[in-house]
Amino acid sequence: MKYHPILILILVLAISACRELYVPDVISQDQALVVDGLVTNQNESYSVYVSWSVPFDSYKMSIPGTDGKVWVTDDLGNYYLFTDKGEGNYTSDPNDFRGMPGSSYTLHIEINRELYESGPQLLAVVPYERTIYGLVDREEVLETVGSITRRSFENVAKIYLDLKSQGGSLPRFRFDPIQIIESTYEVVDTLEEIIPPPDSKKNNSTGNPFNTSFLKDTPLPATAHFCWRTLYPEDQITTTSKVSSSEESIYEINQQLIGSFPVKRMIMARDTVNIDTIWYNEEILSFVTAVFDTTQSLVHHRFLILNEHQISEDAYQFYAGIKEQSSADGKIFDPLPAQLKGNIKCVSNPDKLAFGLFEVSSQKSSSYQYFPHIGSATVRIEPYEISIPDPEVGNVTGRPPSWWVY
Amino acid sequence: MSSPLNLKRFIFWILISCIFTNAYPQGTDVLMSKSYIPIDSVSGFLKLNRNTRLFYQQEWFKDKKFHSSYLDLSTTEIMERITRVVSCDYFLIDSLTIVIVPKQAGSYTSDPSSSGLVSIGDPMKYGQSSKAVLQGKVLNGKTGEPLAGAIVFVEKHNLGTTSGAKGVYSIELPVGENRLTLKYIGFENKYVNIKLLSDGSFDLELFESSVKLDEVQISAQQSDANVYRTQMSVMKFDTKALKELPLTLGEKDIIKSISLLPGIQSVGEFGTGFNVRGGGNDQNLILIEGAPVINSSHLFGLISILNANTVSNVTLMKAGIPASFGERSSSILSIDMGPENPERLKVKAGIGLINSSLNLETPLINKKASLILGGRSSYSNWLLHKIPDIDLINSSANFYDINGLLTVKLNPKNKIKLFGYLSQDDFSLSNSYIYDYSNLLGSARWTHNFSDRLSSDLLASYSQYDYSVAGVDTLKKYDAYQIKSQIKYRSLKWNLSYSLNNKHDFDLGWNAILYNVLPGTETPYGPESFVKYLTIAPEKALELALYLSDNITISDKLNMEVGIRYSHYSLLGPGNVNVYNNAPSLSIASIADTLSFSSNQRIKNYSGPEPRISFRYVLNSNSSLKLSYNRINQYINLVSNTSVATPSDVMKLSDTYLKPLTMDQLALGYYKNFFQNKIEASVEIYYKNLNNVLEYRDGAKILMNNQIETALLNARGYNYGLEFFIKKNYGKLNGWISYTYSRSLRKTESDAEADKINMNEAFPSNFDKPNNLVVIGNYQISRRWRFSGTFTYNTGRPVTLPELKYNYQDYHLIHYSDRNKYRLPDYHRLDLSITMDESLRIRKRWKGSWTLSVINLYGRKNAYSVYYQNDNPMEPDTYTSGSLYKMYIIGRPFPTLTYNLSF
Repeated sequence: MKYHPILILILVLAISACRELYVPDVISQDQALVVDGLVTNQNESYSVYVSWSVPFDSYKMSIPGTDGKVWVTDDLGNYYLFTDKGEGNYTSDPNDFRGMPGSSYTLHIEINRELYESGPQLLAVVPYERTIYGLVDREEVLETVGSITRRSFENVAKIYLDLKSQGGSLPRFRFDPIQIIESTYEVVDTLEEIIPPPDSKKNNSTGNPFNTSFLKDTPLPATAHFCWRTLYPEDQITTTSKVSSSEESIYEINQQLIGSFPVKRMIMARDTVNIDTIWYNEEILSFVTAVFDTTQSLVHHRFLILNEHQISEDAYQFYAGIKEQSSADGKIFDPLPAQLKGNIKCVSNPDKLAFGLFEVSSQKSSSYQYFPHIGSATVRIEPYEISIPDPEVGNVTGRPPSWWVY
Repeated sequence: MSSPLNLKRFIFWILISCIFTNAYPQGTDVLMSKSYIPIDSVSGFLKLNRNTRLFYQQEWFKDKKFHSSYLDLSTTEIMERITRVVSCDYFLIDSLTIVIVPKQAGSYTSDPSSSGLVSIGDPMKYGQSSKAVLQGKVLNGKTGEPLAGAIVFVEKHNLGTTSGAKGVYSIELPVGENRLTLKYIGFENKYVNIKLLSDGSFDLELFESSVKLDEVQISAQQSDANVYRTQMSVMKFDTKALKELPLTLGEKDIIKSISLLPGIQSVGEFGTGFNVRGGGNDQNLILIEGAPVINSSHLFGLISILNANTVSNVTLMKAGIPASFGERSSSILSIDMGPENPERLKVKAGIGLINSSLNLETPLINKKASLILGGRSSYSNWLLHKIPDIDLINSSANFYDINGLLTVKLNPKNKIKLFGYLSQDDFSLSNSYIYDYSNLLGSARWTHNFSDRLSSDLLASYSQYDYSVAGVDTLKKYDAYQIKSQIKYRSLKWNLSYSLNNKHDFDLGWNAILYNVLPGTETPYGPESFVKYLTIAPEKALELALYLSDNITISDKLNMEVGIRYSHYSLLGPGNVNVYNNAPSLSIASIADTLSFSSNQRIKNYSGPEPRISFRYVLNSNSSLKLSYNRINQYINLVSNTSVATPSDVMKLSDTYLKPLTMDQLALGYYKNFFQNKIEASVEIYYKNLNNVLEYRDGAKILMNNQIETALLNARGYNYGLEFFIKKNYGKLNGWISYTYSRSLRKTESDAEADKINMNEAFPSNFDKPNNLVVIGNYQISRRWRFSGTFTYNTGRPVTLPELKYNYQDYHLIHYSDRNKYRLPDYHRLDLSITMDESLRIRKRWKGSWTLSVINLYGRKNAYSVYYQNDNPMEPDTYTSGSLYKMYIIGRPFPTLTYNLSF
C-alpha cells in the first residue's frame, strides 16, 4: 500500500532559542609570552611590547611582561639592548640602532628564566609605484543611546591605493594610517545666534572650494576654540585576491583599502572640548554644531599620515590570521578557527607557548590632507607635510598652536 | 476448515506445545525418539517455538502422524518431510507463515505439463553426465526487471547460488528432478520442480508479496541475503522498504534514513550530505540513474534532493566495492527510479511540511514503455525562521525540483532508459547575501541482452552543478559583488556482463569522465559596483578507467569476487601552473615562475591500479564470514574551510600540487541470522588508509584564491572502526540496534613549519565521532495502531576551542587549541511516533492514516556548533564579552501531526 502525504497539520508547541553559554573543560598552559615588536629602516626609537596571555575566560586581557631583558642582534653580530620603560614596553636607542635594508635582525627576550627568540628577520625593500585616491561611501554603524542600540549609517571617506611593481613580485604590505583632525569653532550663547559661516565664494580668492587658507587672515572671535585629535584606525594589509598580473612582468594590487574615515560626524570627548558632536555640511563648507551645545565650528581639517610597511610573507600570514579571527562572529559559515602563527619561540623550553610577531619591515611615510565631498563620489587628496601633534589630543582657546593648519 | 485461526484450537495447541517445550530440555532424546505426533502438534510447536504459523486442511492429515524427531529439524526440513509423507505442497507467505496446499494447487512451474515438472535441457543428452548447469535470469514478474541478489537453491543437495547484478544465475545440479527454491525479500518465495536433462537455461520470475511488511524495515534484501551475498557492507532499500522509511519532518528522506545505519553519520540537524566510515561528504559517489550528484541536499541539508516517491531502489556500498565503481573513496550510493506499477496510470500528490509534490506514472506505447514525471516545490521560509540563527531568521529559502524517467522496452533484448532532473535552490541570507544553487542531471542507458549469459549496459550521464553568491547590500553598492562557480561532470560507461558457467560471472568495462570546474568568477553586482572582475582559472580533467571482475564460486561455501580497476587521470589545459622555488612551504612569496598550457594540453597525469577482492565463506546455513579489500583513487575533492559542508564549498580537481586521494580499505565481517532469519546480526571491522587527504593550512583562504595550493595540504588519514548491527525483521516488535565504534584521524607529515598541523601529530578529523548508537523500534499495538521510536547517540564531533587570550597591538586575540583537540557535547535524541490507520479494508480505494510524531522528545539541546564571541554590541544586556556559546538547532520537543492518504 502506497501512502502519500496530502495534508500535514503542524503543531509547533515550541521551538526556541538557540544558544546558551558554554563552559568547556579546557586544559592549557596558564599563560604564554606575547611579543609585539617592530624594527624599521626609519631613524627612530623602536619598541618591543612584552606581555602575558590569560585564560580565555579571564576578566583581564593581558598582563604586562615586566622585568625582562630585550635585545636585538643582526647578521653582522651587532648587539642592541632595549631599555625597559615599564609596563612591558622596551625601547631602543635611536642613536645606537637603526634598521638597514638587506640586513637581518633577531629578537631575544629573557624573562622568567626562559629565553625567547624570533629567528632572523630580513629587512627587505622592493621598489614600487603607487597612486592614492579616495571615494565617499556610506557605512553601517551601531549607535548606542542609553540602553538602546540601533543601526544607523554615516558617510565615510575611503582612501585607496593602487600599487604596481615591475619585475619580480610585489611585496606584502601593512598600512598603518594615522588620522589627524583639526577643528576651529566658537561657542555662542544660543543656538539661534549661530554665526553665519564664511562665504567661501566671497572670501576664497583661490576659487577652490576646499581651500580655506583665506581664514588665516580672518579675524577670529576671542572665544574661538582650537581642538585637535589624533586617531589610529585599524591597520590594513594587502589582500591576495586583489593581486593580478595584467602583463607578465607587472604585478598590481588595485583598490587596496587604506582606511575608512567618518566624515559626517565626529564624536569629541567632553574633556577636550565642551562640545559633543559636530556636524559637517559640505554644501556651505561650514561646520554646524549639533544640539548639545550652542557652538559653531568654523573650520574642520582632516589629515592622513600613511606609513607603508613592506612585510615578509610570514608577517602577512600573521596579520591575515588576525583579520580572519577578528572578523569571525560565530556564524554558520565562519571558517574553522585557527592558531595564529607568529615568529617567536621559547628556545630554552620548546613546550612554552609564545605568541606575537617581531616585525622587521621597511617603512615609507607620507602625509596628506583630504577633503571629503559628499556631493560627489570622490575624496580630494593633496600631499601635505604634517606630523603627529604633541600632545596628540588637545584644545586651546583664543590663539591656535604654532603648527596650526589654516 | 482452517484450523490455526481458530482461537480455541490455537490455545489448545499452545498448551500442548508448552508441554513439549517444557519437556524438551529434560529428556529430549527419549521423548522425541519414540513419539509420533499429529499435524496439530507440529503446528503448535512451530507457532510456539518458531513464531511460524502453519495453514492446512485438517482432513488432509487424518490418520497421519509424524515422528517427533522432525521437531529437531529446520522448519524447511520439517515441511519437506511432511509434504513428502502426505503428498502436498507448501509455500511461504513470508518466513513466518506457511500454507500447505494440495499437490495440484502447488504447481508453481511455468510449464504445468509433465506433472508440474519443467524439463530443461536436451533429452538426447539425458544420462550422459551426472551433473548439468542450469542458468538463466531471475526477473521481477511484473516489470521484467532483473533481480540482483535473489537466492536460488536446492535444499535437497544443499546447493545454492545468488543472482548477479543483472539477475543472472548459474548453478550446477545433479541431472534429474530437482526442486528449486527462490527467495527475494519483498517477493513471494517460489518453488519450482524441474527435471534437468542436460545443461540448459531457465528464467525465473518472482512476484511482489502482497503481505504488508512491518514499518521501518530498511534492510529489504532477501532475509538471509546478508549471509549469502559475497559483497559485504551493503545496505539496500527496495520499493517495499522505501515505503516504510521513517518520516523526517513529515517527509520520507532517504539520506536522513541512511545516516541511521551503522558506520554512517550526519553532521546533525542542519548539514549537507553524510559521512561514511570517517570519510568526508565528498567521498560519497551519489548516482541517480547513473548520473552523479554534486550536492544532494535542498535547503542547506534540511531535506535531501530525492523525492522518495519516485525512487524504486537504493543501494549503499561501504566496503568491498565492485571494480565497476570508482571515483569516490568512501561509498557508492546508487539510486534508481521506477514506477510503482508500470502497467497502470497513477497520479500521486502530496502536501508536506516543507514542500508539495506531484508525481505521474503512466504506461506508454501498449505498455512497452513507462514514463515517470515528478516535481516538488517548497514553501519553507517559515521553518527557516525557526532556526535559531539571527542571519537565518532574516533570511528566506526556496527550492524546486523536477524529474522524469522514460523507460522503453524495444524488444525482449533491448531496453532504453532516459532520465532527467533539475533542481534549484534560492537562499537569501540577512537580506545581504543571495545564494543560488542548482543541479542538472541527465542520463541515457541502453541495456542489450545478447543471451542469458551475456549482456551489455551503456550509460551516458551528465551532471551540472551551479552555485552563486551575491553580496548585494544596497548601502555598499561599490562593494556589491557576485561570485559564481560551476562543475560539469560528463560520464560514459560501458559494462559487459558474462556468465561463463556456474563458477564464473565476469564484468568488464570502461568508464570515461570529463570534469569541467569553474572554481569562481567574481563580477561587480550592479552598475555602481567598483569590484573588479576576477576569475579563478577553470579546470578540466579526464578520468579513464578500465575494469574487470570475476565472481568466482570456489565451492558451496566459499565465494570470491576479484576485480581490478585501472584509472588514469589527466589534468588538461588551458591553464597556468605556478612554479615555486625551493622554499619549504608553498607561498605567494615563493612563486618563481608560471607555466602556461594550451587547450587540452596535459598538465599533470596520475594513474594507478585499484584492486578489489572479496571473500565469503559460509560457516553454516545461517552464518558466514566475509573479507574484502579495495583501493579507490579519487581525483576530485571538496574544498571547504567550514566545520559544516555547505553548498558554497568548491570542488577542486587534483593538480600538480594537490595529489589524488588514495584510499585502501580492509574489512572483515561476521554475519549470523537467528530464528530462521527472524533476527539478523553482523559485526564488521574495517581499517582505511588514506593518502593525500585534503587538509587546510591554519587560516587558509579558500574562496577566490588563484594560488589555492598555498592554502591546501596533502595529509594522511587513518579511519578504523567496529560496527555491530542486530535487527529483528518480523513480529509485533521489530527494529534494529546499531552500534559503531570508529575513529577518523588525520596527520600531516611535512617538514615545513607552516605545513604542520598540530606539529605533525595525528588529530581527529571533523568526522571523528567514536561512539554511535542507534536504536529503532516499532511495535504493532493492534491492527490499526502502531508505535515507533528512534534513539540516536553519538560522541560530539571534534572542535577547536579557545584556550588563552591576549592583546596584540589593539587586537584582542584568542589562542585556539590544537586543531580538533576538544569535542562538542555528546549528541543524543529520542524521536517517537504513533500511527493510526483509518481503514484496513482491502477494497477501499482511499486509505488514510494519522501519525503523531515528536522529534527530540526530551528537548536535548544538542550543540550544532560552539563559538567564541568577543562582544555583541547589538545585544549588550544579553551577552557578556569574551564568552563561549553553544548553538543548537532543535532545543525543545518538536511535535508534528501528519495525515497520509493513499489512492
